[in-house]
Amino acid sequence: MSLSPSTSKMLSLKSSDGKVLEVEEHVAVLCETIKSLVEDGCADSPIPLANVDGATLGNVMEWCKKHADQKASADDLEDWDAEFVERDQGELYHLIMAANYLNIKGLLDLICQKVADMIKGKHPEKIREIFNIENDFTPEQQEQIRKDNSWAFE
Amino acid sequence: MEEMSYDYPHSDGSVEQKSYNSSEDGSYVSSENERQQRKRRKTKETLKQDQISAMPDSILLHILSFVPTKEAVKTGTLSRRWLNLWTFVPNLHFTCISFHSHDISKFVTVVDQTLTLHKGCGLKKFTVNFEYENSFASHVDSWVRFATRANVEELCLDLYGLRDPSVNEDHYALPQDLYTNSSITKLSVSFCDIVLRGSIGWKSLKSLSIRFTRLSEDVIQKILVGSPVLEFLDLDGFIGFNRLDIGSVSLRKLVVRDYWDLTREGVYSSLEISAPNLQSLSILGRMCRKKFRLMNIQSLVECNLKFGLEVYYEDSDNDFAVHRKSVKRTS
Repeated sequence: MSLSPSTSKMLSLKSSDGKVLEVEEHVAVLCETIKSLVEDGCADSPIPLANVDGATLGNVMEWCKKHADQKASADDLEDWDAEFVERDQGELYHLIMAANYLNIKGLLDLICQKVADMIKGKHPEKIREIFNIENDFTPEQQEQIRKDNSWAFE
Repeated sequence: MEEMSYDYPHSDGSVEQKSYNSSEDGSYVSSENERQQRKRRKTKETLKQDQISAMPDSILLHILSFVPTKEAVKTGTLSRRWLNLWTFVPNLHFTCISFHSHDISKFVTVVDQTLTLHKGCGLKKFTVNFEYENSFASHVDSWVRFATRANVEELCLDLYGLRDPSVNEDHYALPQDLYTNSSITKLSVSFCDIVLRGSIGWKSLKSLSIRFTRLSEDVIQKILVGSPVLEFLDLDGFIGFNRLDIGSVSLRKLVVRDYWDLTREGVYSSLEISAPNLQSLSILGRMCRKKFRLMNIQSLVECNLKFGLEVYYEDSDNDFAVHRKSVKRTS
């Protein structure tokens, strides 16, 4: 089966909130989940994507379209990706869940790297603040954990 | 100040959300001030959700694999959700950029402690990068053992230093049981001695990088014979051989970079490369006055020659006669 741009047909993707998106097949198959459906001849139209909302699906396909573009150079993609991840946490969260569900390794790596960069070099208290993580340890547990992990904080 | 409540997220990604009881009571008295206050609360409510902790373990571990391991360990103090999460992280990456012996000792302790707590399951990549001293040999042995027992796929031992490789001091000797391994697909070693007592059995190895290590022609042959699926070989900072006889049918790409000869024992020597199945060859970096002879390279489709020859060894980089040439031919 040829998936080259010249022969690419359109696929309909239906989001969890009922929005239908028309996407070129060679773009959509960057999602391994969709690629398997297409290869197995199970790509019903429209393909229901129960775990991805319309807005996120739009963002995911924007990324896929850029990365399916064979004319884009590595530097070009890097710059484009750097801008693509400049989003609020809510959007990043939805993108990660969608990239995981649709099995798009490149996008999952990209967003996970972005979140990792938000963690890197920060004290736990700062990380809690950034991600609104509640410290649910009791004071006794807290003390124990501090002792057990002192080697990592030196 | 009103305290917002939110529910604890579940590890399967679902979040129970409580609706926010706004102060809206139906009265018409609503000053601009109150409206602004409500708006602020609303923003705070959106920010208050702990979405990261609600993600499945597999994704959080993926995120943590991009964080240096020492920092991943610290996330165990965030909350109960995070307490033991890092002990399953699939990539372990330890780096010490300090040359100070006190810092290095502390670094070794951190690696030891981390590996005591890490569960070892699902380990994909293990990288260690520090200034090695012989007194740490048993520690590095135990790290390598940890990684190989966990069926690691990528192993990188970068035990760097500015030492002279012809004087075999403070070089880590790879443990014998590493020479027979069927899980490693990518191996990269720097400043490590390869001393073989038997043969090599690297069934899954596809990519091998040996840097700043003395290699004999015999050892190279044993590596090639014992790595039946090896596709990429990188010899960087090489010394100890004058001939590369590559009969391997799987090896597609060879990189030879920087002749590492501080004693000048082989400054005027030559290197013969015979590789009938090789598709890509790169010769890069500083080569003193080495002569190259390429034979049996009929399968080559890409050749990148970008190396510098020194006119006088004592002179600095300014006196390099740099020969740059790039050949690309398709057969």
